[in-house]
Amino acid sequence: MSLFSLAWRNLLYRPWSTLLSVILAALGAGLISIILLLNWQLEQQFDRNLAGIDLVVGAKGSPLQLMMSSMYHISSPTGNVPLDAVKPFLNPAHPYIELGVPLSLGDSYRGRRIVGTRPRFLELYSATLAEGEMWSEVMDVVAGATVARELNLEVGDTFQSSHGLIEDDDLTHREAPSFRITGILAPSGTVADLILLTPNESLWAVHDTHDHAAEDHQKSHYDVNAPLTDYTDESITSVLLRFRGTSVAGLNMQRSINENTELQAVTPSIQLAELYATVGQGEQILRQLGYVVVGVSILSIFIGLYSSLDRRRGELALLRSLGAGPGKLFGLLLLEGTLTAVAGALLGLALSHLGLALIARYFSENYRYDFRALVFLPEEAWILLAAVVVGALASLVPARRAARTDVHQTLAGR
Amino acid sequence: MYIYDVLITQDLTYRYPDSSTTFRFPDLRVDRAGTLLLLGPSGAGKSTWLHLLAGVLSPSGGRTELDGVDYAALRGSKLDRFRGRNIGLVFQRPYFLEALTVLENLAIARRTAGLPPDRELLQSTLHLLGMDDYADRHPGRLSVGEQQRVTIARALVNRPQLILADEPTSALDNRNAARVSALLRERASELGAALVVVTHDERLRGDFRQVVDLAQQSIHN
Repeated sequence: MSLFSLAWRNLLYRPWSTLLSVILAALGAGLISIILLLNWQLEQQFDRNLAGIDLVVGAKGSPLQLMMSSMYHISSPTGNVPLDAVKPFLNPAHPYIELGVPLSLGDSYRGRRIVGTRPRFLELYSATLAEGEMWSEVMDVVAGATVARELNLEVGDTFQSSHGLIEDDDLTHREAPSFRITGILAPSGTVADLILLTPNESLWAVHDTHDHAAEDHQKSHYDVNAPLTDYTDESITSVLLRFRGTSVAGLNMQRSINENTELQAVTPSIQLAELYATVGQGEQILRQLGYVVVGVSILSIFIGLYSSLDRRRGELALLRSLGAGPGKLFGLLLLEGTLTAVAGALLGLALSHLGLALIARYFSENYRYDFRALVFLPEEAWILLAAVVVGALASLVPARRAARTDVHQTLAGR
Repeated sequence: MYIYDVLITQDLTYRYPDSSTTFRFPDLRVDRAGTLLLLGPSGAGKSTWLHLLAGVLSPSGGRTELDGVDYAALRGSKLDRFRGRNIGLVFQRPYFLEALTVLENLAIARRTAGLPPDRELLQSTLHLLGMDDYADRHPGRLSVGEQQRVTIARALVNRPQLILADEPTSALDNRNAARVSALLRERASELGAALVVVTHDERLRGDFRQVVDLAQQSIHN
């Protein structure tokens, strides 16, 4: 029987005191771990979908809402803007704009957003077709990989869209023409996996029917291969812009749009930095709470071990009399403290991943975003290492006292 | 030196820290498989003497020699290891590692002495004490008599050269006291170990080859 198994058995022998310390250590480690994991996942999701987009131009309203709806597709749009107002941003010869991708939002199919756009949308996310082909007509749809998998969509399938993002039968555009799947994208790990792409004209066609039910809707007056700038009197939701060269021009352009037009321009990187700063305050409080709980767990381990010493005096003296030196007694107590802290940290890490799995499920059901619960960060190894140090620190004083057990006095019953 | 003497003490003295009293203990010679009873009333210094013989206390002066090794001169882990391997201790109160079973309590005695675990030896030691069925039980759930037998088994498990017992029968009735006394003497004899018992229990006087009665000797000045 090794010192390690003896320490382990001692801990199991007084389960309640051990359990309290383990739970406290688990809470501390779990809290810190889940903050790390959530932070990492959010930053991953946000950063991956930045897609080199320098500016989002749309209707006035909440800048965060404009960015979230146009880039991450998890919120309602701020409204529509006249196509004529954004045509300059779609000009391929624009001196500052390398790429301008128009978006028409507002409809969904079974909770998945239908995004009206142009084929260059795929360039933003380096998305490619896995099967089928790109759209050639109004109402043609290319489905993201995750959407296709989750909804069992295949090339040739047809469906009707619903208004908004909520899955509700009453909101289905029953009079509108059906969408038809023509292609399915390969997984790109970006927001492109989570949406249904169609020409902007498809959404106009749906709403033409919606707004003028009596009219005979003809697809023919839309040409999805023509530049969007050919249309007049239409509206879209926003434009995603990627600049040529430096972003100084971008900053100027943002200011100019916000000050001189009815449009709103948002720089995603600045908006994200502001978002992180806001979230960071809450995170900081939670992190500090985690440190406090870790402090309490140190105290709990210390009290648990120290208060057990009087009861265990005979046992410690016995070990000394059997040939165990003071160093072994010191090591035994140190191991007990360290094992408690490490067991707590392991439990905490497991709980944080379980918590993340629940959060992932919520995000997946509500926003279709995939959070991975089984991602392990290098920082988690640091949490385990910190647990070793914390356990050792907490047990240092009890271990020193154990090593100094007076064998003679104890065995003589004094 | 007699050729068969395994335990020899000479001019052994001990003074407690912060005390002006120095205990002076009679010289002892115990041969292999010999038995010695140190009788004396409470407060006569019996436990101090036993702990000096066990190497738990370091003497202020004199020698304690076991099989030619002056272990009183050893220090630190060497002394701990020597005690673990060569001296079996039976205490007045039956101390155990409560988290462990009877068999594991025996195993830990081998481990702390730096000896390899030997399950067969552990089992046979329990068998010698009639404790075969108690191997997987926790000592805290045994009767006082059963606990006493387990402590004797633990004292024997490393095949020591010297077995020291502190008041092993004081809490027992006549019948059980006689049984424990016989058990200790028989097992020590089988191992070829010297047996030293300190007690105030006069019932044991007739069982031992040598008896030192502290009541009749002045051991401190």
